Amino acid sequence: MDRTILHSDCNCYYASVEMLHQPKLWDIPMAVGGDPEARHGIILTANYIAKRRGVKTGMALWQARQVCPEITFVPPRMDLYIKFSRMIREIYSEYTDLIEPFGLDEAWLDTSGSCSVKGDGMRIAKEISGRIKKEIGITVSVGVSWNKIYAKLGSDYKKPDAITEFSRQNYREKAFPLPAGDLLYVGRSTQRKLHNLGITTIGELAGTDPALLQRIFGKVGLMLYAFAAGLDETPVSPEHTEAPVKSIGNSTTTPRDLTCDEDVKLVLYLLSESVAKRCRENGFAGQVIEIYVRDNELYSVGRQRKIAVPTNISHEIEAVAMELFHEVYHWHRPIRSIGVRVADLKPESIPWQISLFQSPEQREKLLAADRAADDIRRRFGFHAVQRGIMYCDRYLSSLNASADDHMIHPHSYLERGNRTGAEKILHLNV
Amino acid sequence: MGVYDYHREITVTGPVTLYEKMPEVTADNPYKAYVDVTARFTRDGELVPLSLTWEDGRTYEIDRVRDVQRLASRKAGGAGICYFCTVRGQEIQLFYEMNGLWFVTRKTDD
Repeated sequence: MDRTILHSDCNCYYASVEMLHQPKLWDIPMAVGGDPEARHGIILTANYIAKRRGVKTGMALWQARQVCPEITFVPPRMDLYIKFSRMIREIYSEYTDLIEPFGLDEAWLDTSGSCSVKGDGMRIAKEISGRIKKEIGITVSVGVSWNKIYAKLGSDYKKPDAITEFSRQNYREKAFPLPAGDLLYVGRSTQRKLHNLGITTIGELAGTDPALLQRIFGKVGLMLYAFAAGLDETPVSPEHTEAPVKSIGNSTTTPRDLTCDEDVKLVLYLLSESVAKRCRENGFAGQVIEIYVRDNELYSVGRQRKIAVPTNISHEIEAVAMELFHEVYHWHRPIRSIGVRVADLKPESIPWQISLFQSPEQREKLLAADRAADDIRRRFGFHAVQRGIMYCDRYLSSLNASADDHMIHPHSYLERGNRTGAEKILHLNV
Repeated sequence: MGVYDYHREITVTGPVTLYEKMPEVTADNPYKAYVDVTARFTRDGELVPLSLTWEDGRTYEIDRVRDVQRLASRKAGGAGICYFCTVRGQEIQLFYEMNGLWFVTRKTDD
């Protein structure tokens, strides 16, 4: 039996949440974007009024101002968006436990199991959309279909606040004329290659011999065919089953260019503290430390090193990061952004070989100091206790390194392997 | 990576507020008024507001809670759990933002 899959996509998510909280933004062009003072000057989301004027996600703030001079910029409040995303997921979870988030604002739901109680896909979609509008105060576009790819096409089909169903009856009329570029994994270069084959729409892609696509694109060719023809079988992952963490990192574009070792040391301490804290919170210690440096001409370098003992002590992470920094960077240009990452994560309690050159007592003390600082910050706020170096440059150290940026990016559709069932296609046809 | 780390001004005056307890509307919004609320947690885990204190310091008893539902308020700007309360014969909507803060929709002249 066919599954019932919904894909729900919040319209202009960040902008919608801001508009809800500041009603004066309702009928003016506005965009959520980085703080130009802190030099993160790009648009993250614009509302529909601004979009109609030509403002696009990813534009620099000054570009947006050129196409739409009266636009209002609002700095992003990630924690608020995460909270609202959680509230929306609570609504989803009343309909199914198969909820796979795709970034903060999108999610797939497999409601096949609740259709006998709640009604068919369209009905559930209407109910969810209505409830989100009433209870959360923002609008969503929902796509309903029997596979994840078509459900996502459906949610992109009509915006804002719309529901589109691609059923077995209508998909040939409605989905097939859409451009092939609307499919997941059909980016600019794939689109160009398809165009050279004379394929521009999803219907044409679905009408192409999968063997030919396989010859040109390899495995991906079969997958694209499966996507276009509605044969994708990728399941919707159950709630709270994210793939295991592979590394913990943090990077930042600093409020001003870094020009000397002191500056770098200060920022590396901030980042290392945040990374070490997250490692400790999750019970990890990492054995590979990696840094990433980007100069003001936007050239970037990175380097990593395996260390003797897995660590989650901020001082140790900073020390290795600083060594790596001296190795890779020779100050030909000031630095614009910098990052620290801890990988090869192991459980914190893993036994380790004591080194001749490192005193275990000293490590214990450093760890205890870190934990004490965590506790103080938990109770009195991030700035309640700080390292002395932070007072060398208050402007630089006011940077907030604790933003939860690690959970924002959509995970890859194929993160858990290719579950599309595309390999079977050739056998079917043979 | 890192695009979302942004610079925050540190202005610590008086007791430090827990970050998550910061009001969600910082800009002036004439229709939203945060209020002091006295509430009771019942042993069943219910949260029942008993009285609220308006900006001018006057305290109003909540006579009855007619209904509780999750609701967004377009006018005040925010979303949370809405308590439809009767206060001195008038119905008001008291919102709990789920971060320790309560707000009501303020009536303004315009």
